[in-house]
Amino acid sequence: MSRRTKLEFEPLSLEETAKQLGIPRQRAQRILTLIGADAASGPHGLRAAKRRTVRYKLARKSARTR
Amino acid sequence: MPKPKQQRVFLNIPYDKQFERTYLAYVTALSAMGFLPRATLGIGGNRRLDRIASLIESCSYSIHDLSRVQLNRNAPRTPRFNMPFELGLAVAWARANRHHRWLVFESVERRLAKSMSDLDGTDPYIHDGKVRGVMREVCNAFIRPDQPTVPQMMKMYRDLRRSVPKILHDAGTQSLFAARVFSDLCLAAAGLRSKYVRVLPRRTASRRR
Repeated sequence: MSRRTKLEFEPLSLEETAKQLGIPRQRAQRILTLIGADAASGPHGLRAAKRRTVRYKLARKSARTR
Repeated sequence: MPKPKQQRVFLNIPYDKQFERTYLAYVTALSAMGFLPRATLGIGGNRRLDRIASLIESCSYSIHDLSRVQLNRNAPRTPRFNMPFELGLAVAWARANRHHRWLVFESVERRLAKSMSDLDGTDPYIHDGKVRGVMREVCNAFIRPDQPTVPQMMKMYRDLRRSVPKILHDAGTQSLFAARVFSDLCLAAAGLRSKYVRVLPRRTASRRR
């Protein structure tokens, strides 16, 4: 018999997790912002900032169509 | 009796300073697997035992770390009996309710046979007392469609550790074992899961046809 247990369930959403843990909405938002997992935060750092620039996006587009 | 939730896992570990890294590793690894860890942190009062029992009953899985078998430093020097006792509660519950599964974790190979020979025939998951070992053994214990890798879990763990000072500051405590800190850590770990672990799209009925 395998020692591994197959998990079929879907993980809870972050909202549901916070609710189950009894964390108020604002505190939950603060924690998720702290770890960079909230909806507003995306990749950050210099390289990510460069990729967000119009100049970079246009350069990539022209490279693709060339 | 509360209804057992599939995502809930009862985490039975020692609450001491030396165990902090392993504790964070468990929270990370279980959250990476999509679990919602539950623990006896913050449970107090006269009816503590009843509340521990109902906490176990509300979980579909329980993880029992029996690696703390040493005597503690403070006089009178005693071993910790809470973990084996709660394992006993979980085993009794699992015998009455087939939906509950319990797993034993240890840090030293073959020590369980000596410390608790009643569990002979049960293979514990040996994590060597290391963070990576906990991740590895949780991956050995469970399998899921969007299985996280150990490197992904290690990334989550490092991010979680970085967030600890702020979480402690916000909770106004120095202890990672405070009830509020535990729930904040669980939410942070769940957030890190959504950041690092790729979630597979669910197959719909029309696509399966």
